[in-house]
Parts: sequence; C-alpha cells; structure tokens
Amino acid sequence: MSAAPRDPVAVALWVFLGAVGVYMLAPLAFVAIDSFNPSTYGTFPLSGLTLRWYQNVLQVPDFRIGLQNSFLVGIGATALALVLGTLAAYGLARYRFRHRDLLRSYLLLPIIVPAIVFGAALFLLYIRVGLYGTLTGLVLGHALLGLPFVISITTASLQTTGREYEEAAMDLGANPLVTFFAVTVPSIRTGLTVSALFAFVTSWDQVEVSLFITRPRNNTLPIAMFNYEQNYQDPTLAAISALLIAFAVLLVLVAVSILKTQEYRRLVQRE
Amino acid sequence: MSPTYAATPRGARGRSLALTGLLGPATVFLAAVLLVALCILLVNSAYHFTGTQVQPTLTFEAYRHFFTDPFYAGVVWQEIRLAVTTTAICLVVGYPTAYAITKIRRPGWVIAAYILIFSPLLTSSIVRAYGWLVVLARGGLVNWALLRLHLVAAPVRLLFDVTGVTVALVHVLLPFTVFPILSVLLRTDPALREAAADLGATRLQGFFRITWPLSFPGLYAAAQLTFVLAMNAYVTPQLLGGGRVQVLPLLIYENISDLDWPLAAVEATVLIVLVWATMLGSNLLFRRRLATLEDRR
Repeated sequence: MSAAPRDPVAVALWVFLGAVGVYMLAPLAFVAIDSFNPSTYGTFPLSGLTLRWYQNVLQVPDFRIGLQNSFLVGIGATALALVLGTLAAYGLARYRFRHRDLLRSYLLLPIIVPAIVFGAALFLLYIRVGLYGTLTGLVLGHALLGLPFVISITTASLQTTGREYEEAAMDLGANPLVTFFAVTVPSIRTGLTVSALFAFVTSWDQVEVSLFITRPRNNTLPIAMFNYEQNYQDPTLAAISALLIAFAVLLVLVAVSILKTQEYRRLVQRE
Repeated sequence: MSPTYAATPRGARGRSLALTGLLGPATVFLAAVLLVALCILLVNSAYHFTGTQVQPTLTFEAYRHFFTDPFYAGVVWQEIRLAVTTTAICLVVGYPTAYAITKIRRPGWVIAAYILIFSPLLTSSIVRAYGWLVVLARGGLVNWALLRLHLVAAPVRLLFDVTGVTVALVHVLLPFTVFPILSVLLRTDPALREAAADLGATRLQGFFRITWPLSFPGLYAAAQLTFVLAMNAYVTPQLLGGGRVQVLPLLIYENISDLDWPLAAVEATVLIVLVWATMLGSNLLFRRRLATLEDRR
C-alpha cells in the first residue's frame, strides 16, 4: 500500500478495508454454510452436514418453473435492450442534432423512476392490455430497465473509439450497414459485452417490477424465492442462493477475463 | 461535427431517415411502456375506491386520505430517516474504502478489492436479505459470538426492526456509494499531492487541502445515488423489517394487492415527487457549492 513497511496510516487503511471486505462477504459466505445446515432454523454452529436442502430445491416446482422463466425472460430482455439500446447509442454518439441532450435524458428515464412505482404502473397497464402474467410482459418490462445501461455504456464506448475507421470503410464503398457490422461492432465489443451482462443481471435479479406482473405459480426465480422466504425460511433458500452465488461468481470471472486486457490495466496504471 | 454524414450523397434527408431509424425504436418503446403506464397510474390516483373496487369517477379522496391521516406522515418520516441514516453510514464507510483501494499498489490486490466490494451486486437483494437473516437470527452467528464472548446473557433481537434493515441496506447500497467516489479519486492527478508535499505540506494537510475538496463531486454523486436507492428499497425492509419498518414502497405493493389502486397511485406519486425533488434540489445546491469553490480559486 505504501512505501514504508509499518506506516500507521497504511496499516489502518488495510485493516479498515479488511473489515469492510468481511462485512461484504459475511452474509454470502454464511448463506453458503447454512445450505449444509441440518437444522431447519439455521442455528449456528452447525450440528452436522446435509445435502437435503439441495435435493429439496429440485422438488419445489416453483423454483423449477421460476428458473426456466428467469432464463427465458433474461435472454429476451437482454436481446431487446441490446438491439434498441445499441441503435439509440449509435444515433446519440455519431450524430449531432437539436435536443440531443434532452433525448438522451429521456432515454435514461427508467433509471430515475423507482422500480416499485414502475411495477405498480406496469400492472395497471398490463391488466388493460392482457399482458399481465405473460412472459412477453416480463420481457418488455425488464428490457426497459436494462435499456439505460446499454445506452450509456455503449454510447461511452462509441465515443472512445474514433469514427475514422467507419469513414475509411465508407470511403472504400461499404454501405452503412456493412460498415456497422464489420467495423463498428467489433470495435465496441467490450462495451457491448458489459452492456449485455448488465442487462441480463438487471433482469435476472429483478424483484420489484416482476412482483406486480407475474401470476402465482408462474413466477420468475427471484419472486419464487421471495415468496418462499416469506412463507418457509428453511435452508432450501440457502441452497438455491448458494447456487445463484456460484452462478454470479462465474459471471464475475467471465467479466474479469473480458475486461482484464483493457479497462483493468488502465485502472491499475493510474493510481 | 454535424456535416460528417450530412455530406454524403444522400444528404439531409438520408440523415434524418437514419436518425429516425436509430433513435425511433427506443423512443417509441419507452413511450409505449413507461410513459403510458405512468399516465395510467396518475389517472388512477384520482379515481374512486368503493372499498371493494375502483370506479373511474374523478375524485381526490385518495389524496385527501393520504395527506390528512397522520399514519402516512409517519411512514414518510420513517422512510426519510432510514434513507438518511443509511446514506450517512454508507458515506462514512464508503469514502475510506474507496480511498484505501486507490492506495493499493499490487494489481492482484486491486482486483481482489474490486471483487470484494462489487461482486455482491451480482446477487439479488433476496439472497443478501436471507444472508442477513442467517447472520442476525436469534441462533445466528452474531448472537452466538456475543454469547460466547459473554457480552450478553441472552440472545439479542437484531432482526425485524430498523437495526437489521439498516445493516442489510448499507450492505446492498455500499457498492453504489464506493463507485462514484472511487472513480473521482482515480481521476485526481497524483502530481497535485506530490506538489503539495514538495511545498512542505504534511500528509494530513495534503489530504484535506487537495484530495478531499477534489473528491467532493464524487462524494456528492454517491450521496445522491445512495439516498435515492434507499428511498426506493422494497425487498430489504419487507424481508427484514418484520412489519415494524413501514415505508412507501411496502405500502404501494400492499395497496395494489388490496385493490386500493387509487391510494397506491397516490403513494407512488408521492414517492416519485420526493425522489425527484431530492435530486433536483441537491443538483441546484451542488451547482452553487461548485460555483463558490470556483470563485475561491
């Protein structure tokens, strides 16, 4: 941390950072430990080890249906947000026009609308148009929440890559569509990957909006877990949470390996 | 810059066509889903609720009910207090955390710190709420430790009131506090601190005269973001509040379920107004503060 080996400020900062790290990891670590807890009430310390909560996960039909729905909705919402968001980001980054800042603020609006309010509003809309309880309704709602992330990340990544190569391709006779897919998309690959990851995680972890627009027995996974947590509170939830944490760790590893080459090196060299 | 593409043979018409094709879909999508839904919500806030169903006759009784019954003032007050406390703790913990991360030299440790602080973002607030349920329960880790250390004679109740909600909410929001502060600190030119040191400033002086004022925009952004997210929190107060922590998001869901949509719509409107007023107000305040900082230079 600092040049002097026993610098008291540096030591204090290290200790503090360590404490914060313990605080951040504690609930996740104990979820993982609790998933092997034979006691139904999650008492500590454990009196033994069991795998029965993991078996139980497979036996709760709500979790099975929820997992399937969450995957479908997550992929659908990511795809929709990515297409709409990338088009919009290209327009915002590559063109100058009147009221551009206004339009940009408008497109980022979903960020500043409380999710719970959006959920309530979406419920009132969906019961009128027959989208209540449908996967389409979930995809539309989740895509809307992911859209601002895609737009802001992709716009930033378009702005850092110059348009020289695009112009060169056009000068050489490529039409705009070919230019976009052969030149632009490869140069903003990192931004697109991060956007997709954000959009997917937004959908995958979504609670507040889904709560209003899913039907009982046909939930997304977070809603199934939310209901289970309110009704039962046994370590089955720890088991499924542990599986989700493992999935999140996998996502982190993927993200780190993608970003390592570029962003991370820049960050480290800064200090 | 605008002539870049306008100069192509297709000219101005091609350009506006391209713009419509690029920005049109997202614009229409947002209007059709978000704006229409919010309008329906707003209209519902002025409808009549008979006690069993909603009738589309224009009244303002839901507003009157909300603003005259002291119960709702109490809820708003509790929510603001919870958000302020959470934000304050997040800033006090988050600033040194961000600062410590900028002081790490070894790249491997930098990655470890990033993963430690930001990876919980990838797990849902439900998983994290369950984690705190396990840690803070009567038979949980914290009580076990307190009993073993003879700090308490009997298990303490840590869950199902404001304490547990605050602990868990800080955990959920801390990454959002650290990130803006960290990015501003990383952008601060280290040469400024070195110059101050060369001119004889102590480390403490260097920090308070250089780093601290320069990090103010990040601190401000962090405070705003954390406060707004705390105001909007639903899952944490619902799962860890045990009914003792009443906030607007909980009431909104409750009232929608009870079919009292007008009241839910009023509560939603109040929440939006509170959040947007906070953002607007703090933006104005910040701009003035920034202006005075500029003046002093």
